[in-house]
Amino acid sequence: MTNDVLVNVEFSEKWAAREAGREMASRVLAGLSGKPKFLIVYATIHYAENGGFQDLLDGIYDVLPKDVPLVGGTVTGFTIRQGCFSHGIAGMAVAHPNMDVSVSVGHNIKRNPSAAAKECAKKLEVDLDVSKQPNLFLFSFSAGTEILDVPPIGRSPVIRSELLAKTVMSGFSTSQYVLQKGSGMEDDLLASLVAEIPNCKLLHGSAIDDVKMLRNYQFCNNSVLTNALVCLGIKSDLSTAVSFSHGAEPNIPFEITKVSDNGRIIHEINGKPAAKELLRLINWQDDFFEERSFTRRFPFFPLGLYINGKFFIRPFVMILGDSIMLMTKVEKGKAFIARINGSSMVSSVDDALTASNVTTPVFGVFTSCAIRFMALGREVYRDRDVLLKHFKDTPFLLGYCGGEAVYTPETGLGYLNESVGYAVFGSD
Amino acid sequence: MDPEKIQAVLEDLLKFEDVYACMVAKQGMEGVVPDKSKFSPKVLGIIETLQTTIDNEFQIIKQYSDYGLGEMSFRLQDFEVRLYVLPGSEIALIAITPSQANRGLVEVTLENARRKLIEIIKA
Repeated sequence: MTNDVLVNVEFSEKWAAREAGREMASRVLAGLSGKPKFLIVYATIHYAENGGFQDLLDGIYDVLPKDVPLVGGTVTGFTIRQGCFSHGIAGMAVAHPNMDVSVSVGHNIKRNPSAAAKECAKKLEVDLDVSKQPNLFLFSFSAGTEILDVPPIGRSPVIRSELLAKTVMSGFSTSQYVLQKGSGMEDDLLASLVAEIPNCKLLHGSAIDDVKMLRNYQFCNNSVLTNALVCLGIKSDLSTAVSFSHGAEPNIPFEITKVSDNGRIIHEINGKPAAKELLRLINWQDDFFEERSFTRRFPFFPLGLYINGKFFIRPFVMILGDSIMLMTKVEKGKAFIARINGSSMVSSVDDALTASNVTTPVFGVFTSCAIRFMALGREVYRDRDVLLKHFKDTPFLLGYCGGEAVYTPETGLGYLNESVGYAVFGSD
Repeated sequence: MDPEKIQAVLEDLLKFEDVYACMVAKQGMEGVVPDKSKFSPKVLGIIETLQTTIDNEFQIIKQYSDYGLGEMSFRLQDFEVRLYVLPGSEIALIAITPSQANRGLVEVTLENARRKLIEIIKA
């Protein structure tokens, strides 16, 4: 059982992609006495300009046996036992005799998320069907939301001109379908994935860059992908606690009264233009929408709503004239401005891990929203303190992502923003 | 204190897009300064201004360092000047970043450099 599990998490801060890949993989293997069953990799976007991600993966496979499956992608940063990093590559390798694994890919997720999920699920089901192990866990990683950098608008999160805002909104569908630049469509993608494989537990992360949201990459074995879903399927005798936390609570109630067809843009709140009504609700002046202020403040005023009795938050990521864009679909109905701060963000992780009842974890994988990384700044080391408190000498890997999600057959799918999703492995 | 190791940390910092200039200094701007040709040309004017005014900040550091002053920052034109005081000293890591930079990411980057510098100074 868990005595047979070998886990190691290592990193490299080298700038040259190939060297960084090699160093991380060498360190991982040096601390693992058996051949790993898989490697999960989080890398920051800097390697795009320092040799490229293909070099990074080639560097890993210079050292790692070619038949060890790898999944992962780009993140804003990562937290491991050794520290919190906004640059570098981290990898987690696991070796365990009672474990069967498979990796698969779904393509063109932004054009047809459902088809991509089915493509991905099909290979996993075939590969893992023969496994005699009882518990199925999926770690999925997909292309996150990207925004177009279009002159003269640039990539500003605030466009107050109604004319420009309408132009941008009307371009969204073309951008999404033709250029495959736009929403990561994770809510649709993951709903399709768990519909194909309902008897699993799942932890998801979305790829992102340094929160500019201009590009992101996914990795599957030695391939660098875009607009893809990559998935690691694990069947083992290990039990997994999967859940999430965010630290927000409902504060100011309101009604969403008009949304776009795709549900990702709120046009009206309480029957009034959404942006103006948001300002009234939070009792702030128009300078809330000054670009610099908005970027710093928006994480602390997310929309909150109940789905199946659980409270989720959805940050208002973009102001488009009098409309507000979210990263996730919402429906008309009751919602809240949520109350959240840096302290509650961190303490909620502590509370959630305490409640998870995993007394002897053997390893943990986390996907946290990059907005938390932005909002916490150097205080992100408090995340690490919490993880060290719970994991002690046990390895963990946390990536700051463009979106996160969890699923269990009992709780259903929870697509998250500004939250931390986790999968903690142990024995029953 | 090994100046070469400090120099390596600073040169690594300058590889970050949003770190325009950095140094480890004390009053009088004495300390370890990377090759200024590696600084962003955008901040060369600011560096000159800082050289004549930074002693005021170091006076504050001196007064408050015993009380746990950790960092100071101020906005100068379109830039932020950040001073991270190295514990138990009157030495600071000084970094100049664009005011529009992603503050959270810059903070983590500088915090890691600060931790490395503390290790070097301790050794």
